[in-house]
Amino acid sequence: MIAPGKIIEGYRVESVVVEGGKSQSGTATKVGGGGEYFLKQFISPKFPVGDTDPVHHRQQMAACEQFERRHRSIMASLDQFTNGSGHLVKPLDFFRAELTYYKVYPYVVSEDRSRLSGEAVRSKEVFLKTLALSLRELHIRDIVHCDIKADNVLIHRTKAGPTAKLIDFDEAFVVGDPPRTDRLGGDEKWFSPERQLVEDEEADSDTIGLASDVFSFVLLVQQMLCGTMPTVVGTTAGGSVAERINAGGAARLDPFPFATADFNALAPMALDARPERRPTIVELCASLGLPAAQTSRVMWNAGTR
Amino acid sequence: MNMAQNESMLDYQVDVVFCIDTTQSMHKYLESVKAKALQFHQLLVEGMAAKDKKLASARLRVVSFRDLGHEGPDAIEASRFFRLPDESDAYKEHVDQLRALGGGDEPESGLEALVVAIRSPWLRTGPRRRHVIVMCTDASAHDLGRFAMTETDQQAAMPASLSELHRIWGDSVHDGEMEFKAKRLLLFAPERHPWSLIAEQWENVITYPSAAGEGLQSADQSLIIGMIAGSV
Repeated sequence: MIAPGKIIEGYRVESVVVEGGKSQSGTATKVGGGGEYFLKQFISPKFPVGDTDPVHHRQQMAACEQFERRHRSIMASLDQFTNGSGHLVKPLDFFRAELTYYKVYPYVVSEDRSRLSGEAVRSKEVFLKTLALSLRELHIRDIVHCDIKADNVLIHRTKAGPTAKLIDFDEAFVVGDPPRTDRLGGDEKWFSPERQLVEDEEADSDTIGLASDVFSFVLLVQQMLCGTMPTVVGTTAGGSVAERINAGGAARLDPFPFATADFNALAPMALDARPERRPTIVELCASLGLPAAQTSRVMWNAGTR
Repeated sequence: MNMAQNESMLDYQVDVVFCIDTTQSMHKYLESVKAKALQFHQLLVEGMAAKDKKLASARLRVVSFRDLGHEGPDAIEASRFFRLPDESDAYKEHVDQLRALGGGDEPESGLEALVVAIRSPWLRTGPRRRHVIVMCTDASAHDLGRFAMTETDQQAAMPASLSELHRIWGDSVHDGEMEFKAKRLLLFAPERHPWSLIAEQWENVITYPSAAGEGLQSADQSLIIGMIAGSV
């Protein structure tokens, strides 16, 4: 368990961090090695111990194997970056200690996110571009982040302005291999329409693809850089942007003064109810004038865009 | 907070059951625990607003327990759910009457209290639900099945062992009697039987080891609020 003074697989817990969600977290140092880390303890699944019901035991083992495979495949994909991945805070370690799973991230402190909407146009442009690059780094590896939200974007100040670093790949999966429908986490405020349908148990998790992240990305741009969520017209339903779109509404975006005309032409399409109508993050990056990614492994699956 | 922000806040529904050890050994902590339980609603409203979330429904329940082996079958007392803020006075009246008495030596009857809490009439409809049990004790617990209890609102048979209770709680394969995604057990308990086993083996459990019932102190309170606000 995460408690000050506990040593877990060579990491000494220094303090408990209030996080919520599906984990208990703390800051940690490496015993004998220093450094500062962010240590996450998953509260589910737990490795099974002896069970009188062998069928149940096998099902639990299978759930753990699927969980381990997903996390290890994401880490392996992230490790493939040879040209740097400066816009991602990649996990350093993933392990099981006794019955419990843990993940280790470098400890990175973010600037106050609430100040972003008051930044100058040039600074917002820098932030937008680095945020788009961070998501592109995942999508060109066919990784769906699946938990895009403001809390998962760290702000790192450089001479050029505030830059974005995407964190927390605990819900991430490779396209086509999502977690079980009723075990997906996330914050509904940032959900895409298809992710919301999964939450409402009206669709399976395999309907969620890269396009779901693109929807959440544009919500992020609007919220973090303009301070509001997009307007939804044509419905009296309440709830999140996704819930109102699923109730028949349509999202409206005003042009972003800090973005290019090409980006402003594509961004409203990213909030389309239909995933296949949304632009890809590669297209959005190109619309911002960003150079093409250095990997050629851009494979789009029409069914999971 | 401006109007646009307020309109973008999503409604959440939170049910919380406090399982409070009211044996004599809790004497020096109980007033603090009670004070925190009474402040809980307002702190939760504020904690969720800080996360841009709105508490649409908050219901709190208290299950107080002593020792079935010492006090007999009435050693566990469960309130109804109080809907806050509308029923704040009735909730306060119930919490105020809790007294640290009896219990004899440990272990106490925390597991039976946990069964009552798990089988609470949780809100099962509406979006964005969270069902939280906060267990606060300074003692180990009797094994289940040793003592009879007055089953005030128990429709189903009491589990006879910890492994049966584990099945009722559920896991990543079978939900158990509570909704898997909605539920959390926050354990403020010493590293003694059965709490250390529950902390190690059960899913959706967040543990704060507390030496001699120091649970629900100020720092812990902020952890609970943060956990709920961050996870709903």
